Amino acid sequence: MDQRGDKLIMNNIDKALLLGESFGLDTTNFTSSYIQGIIESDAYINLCENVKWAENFNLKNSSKLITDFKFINYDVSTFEESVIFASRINYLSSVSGEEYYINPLMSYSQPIKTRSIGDLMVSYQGSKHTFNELISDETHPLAYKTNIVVRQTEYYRKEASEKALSNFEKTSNNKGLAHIVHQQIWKMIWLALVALVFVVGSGYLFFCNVPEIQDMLRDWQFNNYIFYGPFIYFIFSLLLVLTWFGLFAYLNDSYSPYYYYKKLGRHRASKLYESINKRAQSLAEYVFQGIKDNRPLSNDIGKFNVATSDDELKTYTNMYGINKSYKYSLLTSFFKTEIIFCVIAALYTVACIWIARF
Amino acid sequence: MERLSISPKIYFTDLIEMAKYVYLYPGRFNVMFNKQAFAKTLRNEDKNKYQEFLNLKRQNFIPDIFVYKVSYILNPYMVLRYHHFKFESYKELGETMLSYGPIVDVYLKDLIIYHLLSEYMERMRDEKRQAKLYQQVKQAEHDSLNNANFAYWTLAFQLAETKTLIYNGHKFNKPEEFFRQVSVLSDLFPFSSSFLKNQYVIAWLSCLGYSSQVKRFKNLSELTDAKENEIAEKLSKEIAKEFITQ
Repeated sequence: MDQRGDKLIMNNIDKALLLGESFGLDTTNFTSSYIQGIIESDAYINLCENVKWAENFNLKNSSKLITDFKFINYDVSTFEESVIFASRINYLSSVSGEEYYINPLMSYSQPIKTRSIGDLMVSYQGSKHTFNELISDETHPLAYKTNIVVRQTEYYRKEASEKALSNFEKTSNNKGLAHIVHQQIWKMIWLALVALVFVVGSGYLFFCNVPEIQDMLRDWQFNNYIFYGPFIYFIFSLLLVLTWFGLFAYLNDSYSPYYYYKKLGRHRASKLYESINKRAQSLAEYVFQGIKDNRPLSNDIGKFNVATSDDELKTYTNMYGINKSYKYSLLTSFFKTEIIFCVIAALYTVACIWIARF
Repeated sequence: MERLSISPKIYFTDLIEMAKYVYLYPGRFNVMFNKQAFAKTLRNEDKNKYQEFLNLKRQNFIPDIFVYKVSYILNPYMVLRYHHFKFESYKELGETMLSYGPIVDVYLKDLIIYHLLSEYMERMRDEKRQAKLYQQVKQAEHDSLNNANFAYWTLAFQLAETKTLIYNGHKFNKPEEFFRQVSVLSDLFPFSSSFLKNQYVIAWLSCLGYSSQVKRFKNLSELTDAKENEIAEKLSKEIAKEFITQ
């Protein structure tokens, strides 16, 4: 194999070996160096980079590319297998570009490399061409080109609609998430009760005429051992209430999309479908106009995209993992620590009062 | 008949006799056949042949073919002779073709690609007497439109009625023997550089009955080339695009 101009080229020696192998020619040494050449080739590096990039997009063709890449058979023992392996790599590399899977009707959370709808690939006559190539193609009649544009736009429309539907199904009728949210509400109620118990206890100590506490308040002395217990108890009771409110505010913020989308889900879904259909129609007309005017398309990739429910889905996914979030863990730990301190301070105070009385 | 000469020492007074020597001096006869003197002599000697000659001239064949065809107008029943080659039998033609292996003789290839051999067989009424061979020749002429060298060697093996490969003077009866020899690096390089172009070994393997292996090799080879070209084109486009963007 040559690396002519950094491109993977199967040379005539490789072809002679390929033929000879069928007739008993020992190609063991050549096979390993051939494989090495493929792994180090620009095509393979390009494929790896493109697959990594494709992982950012949850689209039909990007998923297919990732699956195909995962299932490449690296277990190559004959020269013929290594040639098939090279062809597979070359093929996948040639169709791994973003323009093979990007759907112009969808919006993406990360920036994309493709600049124009004209660069997107469309398949006809058994091979892939860009929309701009279709526009400049003078070998086919207008009706043929129109048919291809309609077919491709329909593919985009269907993919965008299916994705929206799939996301709505994941969010609107999500019983698992509803269970998690309800559980979290009950947890917050229990925590509020616990905090309330400690606050009530604190109020009782300071406002319900416990003689030892009243004495302490009258005769303010830092060396009085009874002094620390009620004050620590009081401070941690307050902190407990503050932490509860912090936790409540955080959960309220995190779960608000759940209630919002639950309420508006169906309405939003129908609006989104309508929007996708309209944009698909406009896209087809736009490309069709480009064909009629023989004008290549440029800098228009975001012209027909529709805000899909990807971000919404992301929020939902985050809700599932809320128990593992840093903020939630920190606030819960605070709450637990404060309870422990409150309990210790309460026991200490009770013990002090008991010693003072007897 | 008026005396016709191709050099001061070589001259002819009989057209039929002269035709037998055309294959030995194709260049000189080409000059002669294009002169008025020859046309005039032919018109005087035989009106029909002259008419055939005029028809031939209108078809604008390349010189070698023109000379060959004129020679057979003059003497239609000669044994096969073309451009320094003379064959008493079809087998001899096949053996001669193989003896040059792996080099394709361009003049012998003319017999196939310009349909001279089938035309000769028809003239000799061999299309019925040697029907199978005639079919093979016609098939080779047809196949030569797609792959002239493959058709050339396939026909060579058929004409010579052999399945022995003569490669640079060495004889091989089995592919394993041949590839064992080729696996030596000093032989692998020259073989690799030419085997796809001359198609000799590929035609031999097909004649031996390894058509499926050959087909598989061809398909895989073509597929690999196509995929490599696709990715090469794509990477070049990307580089060009980056260059333009910068």
